[in-house]
Amino acid sequence: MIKVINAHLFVSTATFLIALSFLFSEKLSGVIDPISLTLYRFVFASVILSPVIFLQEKYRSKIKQSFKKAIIISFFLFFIFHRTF
Amino acid sequence: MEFTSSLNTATIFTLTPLVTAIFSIVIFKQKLLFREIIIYIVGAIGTCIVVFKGDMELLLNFTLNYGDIIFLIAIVFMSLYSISAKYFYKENDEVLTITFMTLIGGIFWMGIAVIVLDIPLQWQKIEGELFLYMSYLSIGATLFTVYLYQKAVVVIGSKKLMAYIYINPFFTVVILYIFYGVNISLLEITGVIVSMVSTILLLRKY
Repeated sequence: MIKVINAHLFVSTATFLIALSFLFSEKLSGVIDPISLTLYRFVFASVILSPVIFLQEKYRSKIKQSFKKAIIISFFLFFIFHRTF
Repeated sequence: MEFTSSLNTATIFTLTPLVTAIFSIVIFKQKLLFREIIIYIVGAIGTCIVVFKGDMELLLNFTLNYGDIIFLIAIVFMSLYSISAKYFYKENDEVLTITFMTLIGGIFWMGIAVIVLDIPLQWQKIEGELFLYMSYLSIGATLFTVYLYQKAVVVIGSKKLMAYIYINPFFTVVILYIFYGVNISLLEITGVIVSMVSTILLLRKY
């Protein structure tokens, strides 16, 4: 039950963050190419997260098994983020 | 967004929960009841009332343009994203690692696009205020949301995850009020309530 409540809190938070993002993506629209902006966005986010992943064995050890599925999931994300600028 | 407006994209965005529910029939063999379709439509109407600020004339004059067609494709992919995030997740996976690898995958696809389309990066233009906006989009709206969505979708599923889109009007109205001091009309408040009730109805199994 707590897992379910937490899941709903997570989505509510994510929904708020996305609602806020439309204000900022509109300001960046047209500054540089949308694909370049989205690449920047992914690189920035990955760099921030990478120390957590590489410094902890429990996360680092799962990289290989996550690779294929993440490539497919990210293919759909690619279109979402690219098309929102 | 270069070819359309926030108004149009926000309107089209309301189709995402229904599109996800349709995909869920095929992928997860879930049922889509007639009353659920009605709730999706009502939720979309409630959201549109807020998007159009209660201006019926504006709503009736709504037309699709080139950017909107692109955004329609984006919502299909958004649905497929939530479906695949649920479909591929296994119990021994680490959500944080999947989040990281999804971001790496994003770099892979974007990198291919940049090379194939010969797009100049021009990242030096992102400075000052623009860098702050970009920081928010990268950390708040990309890193956190990918993680939170992945964490939630394995518990509540794609359909319910996407039902949260009808909560968007509430947050949008709150954000506009806080950041821009925009007055909220009674009709807009009605739209927010209708959208929120739709979400609650779609989530009520939990």
